[in-house]
Amino acid sequence: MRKKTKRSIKWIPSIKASKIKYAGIHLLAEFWHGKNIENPKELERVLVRGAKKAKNIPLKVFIHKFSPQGITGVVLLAESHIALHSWPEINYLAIDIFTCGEKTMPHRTLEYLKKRFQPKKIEIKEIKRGIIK
Amino acid sequence: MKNEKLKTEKKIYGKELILDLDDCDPKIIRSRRKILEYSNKLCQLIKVKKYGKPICKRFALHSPQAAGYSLVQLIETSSITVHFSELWNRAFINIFSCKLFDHKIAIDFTKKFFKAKKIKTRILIR
Repeated sequence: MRKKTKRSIKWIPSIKASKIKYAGIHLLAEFWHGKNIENPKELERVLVRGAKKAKNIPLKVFIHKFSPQGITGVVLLAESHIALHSWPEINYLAIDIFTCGEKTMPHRTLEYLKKRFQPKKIEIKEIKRGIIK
Repeated sequence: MKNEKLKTEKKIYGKELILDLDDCDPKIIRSRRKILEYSNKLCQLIKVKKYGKPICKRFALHSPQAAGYSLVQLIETSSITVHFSELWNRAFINIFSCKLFDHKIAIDFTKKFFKAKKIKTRILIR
């Protein structure tokens, strides 16, 4: 477990470390001032590769480019979904990584996305969803 | 320059509603027709425009915990994603829109539609 630092990431103990079991982990990330957030093909590639990095199975990718700018991309996974929403005009990217199952590692996807987009500022929230009784 | 950046970052660019539903009606969450009906009605109620056709398929049959329908509907202001777990009769729903919407309408409608006995809601301003 990494300690919280000012303006940075709060890593919560993983599902495995906790006694309570959850159906899935949902990571919500805000990337500010990153690179390559305007190219739909690049976003599509990143979505699929990011999914595979976390041992997820990508099933279908959706990309929509808004006019005059902005892109929404969603990859539907066998284990839920990853979504990217970009606002190039303000250099902002909103990311959702929701995966279920014990074998998936959403943090790996996040690390991959950090490398690809190289944001100067990041905010991350982690939500555990669906307590298993 | 720095101040400008900070001002930009303080603006609100969207709202994300995260809903976790427990004890849903097993028949409804197993019906593709009903799930598509949910997506259509929800878009109308919260006044967001659909972009393209939704995808709604039954996935993850290899894993009993994850098996169930998933739905993705792109909207002109971001996306709606829905995942069902048939094993637990649960639904995991995300509504993200950069056009602000009435989350109370979405919550009430969703709970009633799936006849969920329990609902956990989270709202994030992004």
